[in-house]
Amino acid sequence: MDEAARSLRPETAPAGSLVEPERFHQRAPLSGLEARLPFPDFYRSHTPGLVAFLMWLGAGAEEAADVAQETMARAWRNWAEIRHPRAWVRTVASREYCRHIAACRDEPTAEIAGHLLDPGMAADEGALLGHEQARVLELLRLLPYRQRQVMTWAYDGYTPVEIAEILGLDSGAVRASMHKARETLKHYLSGEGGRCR
Amino acid sequence: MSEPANDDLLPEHVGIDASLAAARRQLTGRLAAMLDLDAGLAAILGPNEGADRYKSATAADPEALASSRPALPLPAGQAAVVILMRACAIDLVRAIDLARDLTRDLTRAIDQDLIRAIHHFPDLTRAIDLARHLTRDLMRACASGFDRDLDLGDTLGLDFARADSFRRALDLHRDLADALTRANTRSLGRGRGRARARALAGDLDGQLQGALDWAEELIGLLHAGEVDASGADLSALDLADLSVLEGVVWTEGTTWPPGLRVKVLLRSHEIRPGVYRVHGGSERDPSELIIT
Repeated sequence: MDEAARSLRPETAPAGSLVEPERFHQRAPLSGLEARLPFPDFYRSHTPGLVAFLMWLGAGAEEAADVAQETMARAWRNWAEIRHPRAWVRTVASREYCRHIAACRDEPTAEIAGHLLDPGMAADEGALLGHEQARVLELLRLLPYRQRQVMTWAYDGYTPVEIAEILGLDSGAVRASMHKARETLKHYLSGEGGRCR
Repeated sequence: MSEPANDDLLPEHVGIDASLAAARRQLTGRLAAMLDLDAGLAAILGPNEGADRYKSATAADPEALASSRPALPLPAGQAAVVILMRACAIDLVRAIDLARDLTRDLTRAIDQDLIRAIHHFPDLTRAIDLARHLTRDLMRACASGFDRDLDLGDTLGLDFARADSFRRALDLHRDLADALTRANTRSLGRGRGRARARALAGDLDGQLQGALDWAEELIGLLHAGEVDASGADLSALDLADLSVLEGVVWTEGTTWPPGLRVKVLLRSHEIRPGVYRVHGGSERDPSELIIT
């Protein structure tokens, strides 16, 4: 196997993920450290970011914490095979969140091993996050899902090209979604006569 | 976490872009201070089974790491600087990690025992100060690698503007010290003082997370290519952790600090006659080598 081929060699993609395995394999890691972080270090460093990621997608604080915990447990079970864990957990968590939305309508969700966030604390999101954070989330939730999804990945440090690969979109469409989302948010904010922070 | 690539960001969107990036960092910081990560991790790893599985699951694959690297055409004169920066960046990640742990301990202590929180505050000050000094050392090392033909920072793609997180972290740290003092001295406003201190600790954690992301990316960039130390004089380097040499190419003409050559040789493979590359992971069996 030559170097170019080896650098694209398959990793374990999440079963049934939103991302086609081929796309997942070809993504370059954002950080050279990513593949070398031990799981406990990865968990401590990335779980808060993963919960924030899910909250930007639209999940409530408690739901985001539960999905993140479920995703991290799954990452641990597959840790030896996952080569780009940062993108992996976000992709799996996105899919799990979509499943949660669907499951909430008619069936109970699975039991989660361990709760990251006290349910009583999570119930009052405004108090938990502070007024400004709650307001940003409220505005983001006004966006169409695709725009919110693209913005969620973008403000996690992913470029439009990377987002396009992950979500299976054209990079032009990603840029257009980001542009529309920023326009909409600017409109909301100017309409309210204030800024995000 | 970092701000998105802004190559096609319109001028009228700069403000909203900065606000959203800051909001995301602050949200992550607040969550980091409020999530019970110890309990969550224990629920996944279990009380007894974690350690062994963890070791086997994270064993480095040096060949895979080496094969994924693009070649980085750095002249041998820059090798010592890059190695020094790698060591510095690893210390920086450790310092920021420590500062984050202390910030989270402090957040818990604000609610449980304010005096303990105040008592431990100087540890946090020292950790942030250490991180700030290491960042300054990194910038100085990078500047020392500049020469007429090659800007080392540009070549490596380093963005020191993102080190700005530290300045904001220091501001928050000062505000937090003030809030803790007020919470302790004003009995009537103690509840509000605690709430403000808790919020500032969350924001500080967010800034430190931004700094940590930057430092980790920096390490990735510093390890992203082959560093050519052929014939270079590395004798002045003081290396406690040889992992910073990973990927370095060297020759018999390279000068190592006293006592280090054999250790480096044990971690290297000969890629061409007389030319070696340091790999990651453990040392080779010394019996494989003929030391000249």
